[in-house]
Amino acid sequence: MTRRKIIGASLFFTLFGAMASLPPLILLFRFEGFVAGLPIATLFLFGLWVFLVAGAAWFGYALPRDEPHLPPGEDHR
Amino acid sequence: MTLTADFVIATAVAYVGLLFVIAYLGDRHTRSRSGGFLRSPFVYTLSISVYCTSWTFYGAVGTAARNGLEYLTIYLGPTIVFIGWWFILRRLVRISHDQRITSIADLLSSRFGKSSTLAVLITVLAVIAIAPYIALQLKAITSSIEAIAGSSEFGRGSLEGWDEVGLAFGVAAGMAVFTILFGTRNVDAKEQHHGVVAAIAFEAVVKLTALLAVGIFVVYVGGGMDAIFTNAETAGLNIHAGETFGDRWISMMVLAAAAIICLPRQFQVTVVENSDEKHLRTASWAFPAYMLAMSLFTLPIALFGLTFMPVGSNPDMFVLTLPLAQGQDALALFAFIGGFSSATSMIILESIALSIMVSNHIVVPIMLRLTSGDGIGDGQGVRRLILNARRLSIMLILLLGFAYFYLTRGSDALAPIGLISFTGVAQFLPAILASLFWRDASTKAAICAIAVGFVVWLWSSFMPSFASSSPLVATVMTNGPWGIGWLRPQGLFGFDDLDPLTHAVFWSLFLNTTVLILGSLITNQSALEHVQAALFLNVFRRTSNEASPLRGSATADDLFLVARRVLGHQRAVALFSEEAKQARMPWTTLEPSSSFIRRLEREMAGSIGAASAHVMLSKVVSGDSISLEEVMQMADETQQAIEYSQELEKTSTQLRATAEKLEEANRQLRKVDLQKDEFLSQVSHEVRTPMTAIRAFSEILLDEGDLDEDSRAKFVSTIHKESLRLTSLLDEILDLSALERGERAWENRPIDAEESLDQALRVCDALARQSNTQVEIGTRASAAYVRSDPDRLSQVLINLISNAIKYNGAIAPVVEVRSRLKKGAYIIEVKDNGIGIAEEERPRIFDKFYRGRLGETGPYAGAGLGLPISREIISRMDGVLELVSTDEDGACFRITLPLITQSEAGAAQ
Repeated sequence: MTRRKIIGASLFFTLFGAMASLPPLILLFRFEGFVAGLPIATLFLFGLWVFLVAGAAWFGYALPRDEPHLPPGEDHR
Repeated sequence: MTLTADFVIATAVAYVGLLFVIAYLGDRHTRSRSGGFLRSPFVYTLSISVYCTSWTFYGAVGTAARNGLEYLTIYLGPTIVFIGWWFILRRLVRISHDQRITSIADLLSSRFGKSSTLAVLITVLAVIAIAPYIALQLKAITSSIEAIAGSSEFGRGSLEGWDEVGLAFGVAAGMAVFTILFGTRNVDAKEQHHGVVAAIAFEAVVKLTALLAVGIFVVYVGGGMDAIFTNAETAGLNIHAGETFGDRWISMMVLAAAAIICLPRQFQVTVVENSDEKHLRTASWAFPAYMLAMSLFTLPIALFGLTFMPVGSNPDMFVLTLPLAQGQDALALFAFIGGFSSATSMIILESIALSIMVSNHIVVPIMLRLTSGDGIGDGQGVRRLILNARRLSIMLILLLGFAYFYLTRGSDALAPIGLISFTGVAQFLPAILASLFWRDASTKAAICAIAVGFVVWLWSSFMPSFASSSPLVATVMTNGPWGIGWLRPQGLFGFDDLDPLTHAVFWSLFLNTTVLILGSLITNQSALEHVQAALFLNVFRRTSNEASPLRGSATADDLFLVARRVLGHQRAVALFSEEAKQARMPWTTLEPSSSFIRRLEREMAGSIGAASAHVMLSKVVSGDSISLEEVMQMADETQQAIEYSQELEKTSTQLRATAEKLEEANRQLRKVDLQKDEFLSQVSHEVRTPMTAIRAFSEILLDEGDLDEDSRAKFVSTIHKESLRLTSLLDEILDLSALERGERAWENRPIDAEESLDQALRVCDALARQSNTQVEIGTRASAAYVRSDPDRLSQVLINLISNAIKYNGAIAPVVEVRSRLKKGAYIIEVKDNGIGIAEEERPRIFDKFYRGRLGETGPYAGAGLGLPISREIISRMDGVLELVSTDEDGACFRITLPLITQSEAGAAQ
């Protein structure tokens, strides 16, 4: 993956995290039920959280490390 | 072990002593070495977890008990901000490193033209907004001591006679002393406090282990996670999300995300104390993971507490009261220390961050104004003054916190108090985002926007919290001020149905952002704002020579005086010596370059903030800042340079195109020249053969006098024949070259082409009989009107038919001639049954002087100009002469001529 794509993916991942933890997406998990003795909404939120932590760890490793020094006038982001 | 209030207080004091030792060792460790372990990304992450205060430790359980999953928003918001660290936090850290930013007020004032008004406004807002948050910590510590004292069989011990307020005051005073000793020992060049950070990181570990220990204990006692949930449901508690995910959920997510950036202490640890940008990489997942671990057992503790503890007990204190109720005094003590840890770390860092803001943005500017820059005092004056200002502001901040606690002591839950603070500091967010991403945001707009947000917050969020203690506020809450209903704090403009928190968040942030955007659109930026905005926006596009906001001349002595007052003698000497060494000049004659002045300003900004440093240096540097005219002039020059270079580029493109055209013309000339040479050599060759024969025979006739009459006649006839051939060859050459140059002009007129074909057939009849060739007339078009010259067309047809007869070579030679009309064209085909034309000869058959194999050797050797002439003639009639391939033997030539319209044909008839 190219530098720009990884940064794009990171932005998408962040936005996805925000969308998934806000209505209306979060309302999908509002119904009353249990999985392994735990309420579904609780389980979803913690599952999402673990997923976000894991994703952030991967991005922390994958996001570009160097800061290329481009001449002024060229936006590298 | 039995817990008493005295014992608990003694433990707390001992714990504080331990923190001191850690901070002291931490400071010494960083000073002696390059930092080592203390500058690792994990210590950085742990220091960020100062976000988890006693609100998290005690209050989250209370929120979970009252509102279920809602407590998670406080951690999910920051999680989103941290996983998106690349986009906001990284920029903040980079800018702050580059500009030596010391606080959030410094950041915004630096971006908005080093405005001191903005810095003062933000400092005042922050101090007021944080008061409830400090009160929350005081309340948590007080309640936890009370909870232990209340359950102790030995009564209140030495706390006898102290009520809650007195205890809170004692805690606040203790904290003030503690923080002053802790955080204001020195004025650091970069405002980094490694010792404090070490202590905060230690506290982060303590509070996490304490909360996890209580959590595991509760799950163990409660018989496992599922048992706790099942029991809670049987007890009639609502454990499902239900209506949790409403407008309140959204507002809390937004608030928490804003708070992790805007809270002064979070800005301090995440941005100012950051020693390496790479640490964000680790913190981006480690900090969310830390918060996840902190919240893991919150819900089970709350649910178990609600089912197990007697009705009416304070859910905020479950973390402490559950172990106490189970008789686990050691665990309860550990929990108390954990809660105490989370409260102290918050109070210490928050008041350090706020005191830096107060001293840099309020005290130092006032002092500068009073002394007009001259009588600042002796070498240590400014530093001592700054330290004293910080000590005083720490006391003020804790006093404010206590005052808020005193005035709102009627309310019991912890979390709502914290949310008031969050809403207050969230007012900085629009300006921060604008400073990172919007070049045109202007200072005036930012000041107005934050002021508007501040006022709305004071009215709709801060003031309502006094309703329980002040009847006046309660009246305003229900009826509005002076009875104006639409100004009611929790129902502005008639928005009654919204949750009070959502109401305050919406109106304050909405009006704040609107004013910022509209204000920036209608106001103009000053030159300095312009420069700073560009520096902030282009932070990842470093150029070596950034524009200097401060220019002009100043003597080294003046500068040194200022630097010594702010930075201290040692640092100032070091800075100036370094500059002198670089400039290879003695100290006394040093002429400070603009880059040196810039560096000095940055160093000073690290101690007293950007705005103050700018003001101080402006006083000694004459020429001050760039005027708007100068900036405009610079911009004009740049614009002109750009236009000039664009013009140059255009001209060079044109030149390149012309050169290409010339080159192409040259190539054409060379080709034509080559063709001419070829033609000449071929013509010479063709002329030479008959000339040689004529010369040879005439020489014989001249030399041999005794030749008989027969031979003489034979020789003369040969000479005659060769002369004829020569003439016809020259005629053909002249004809072709005239045709090619377009000199031989004739007028094409409408004719019946069939007549020309008939004529050609008649001419060739004799030749056909002579060589025993059968000429077959195939299908014929009845009449075909084309625009042509009848003689020239006959010439071409005669040439084609005679060629077919002469070069046939078959035993029974047959030539077929046919014509037809097809799609508006008239087609004549001349076909023979001879050996045809070999594949490799086909492309060259129309070349000048090219003769086929038969033509070269046979009895009718021609000049090889017939076909090129014919083709030239037909093309002058807008037609095509081509050699077509057929399946049968022999060659087939086809002439295609365009037919003319009926009316023209009528004219021809």
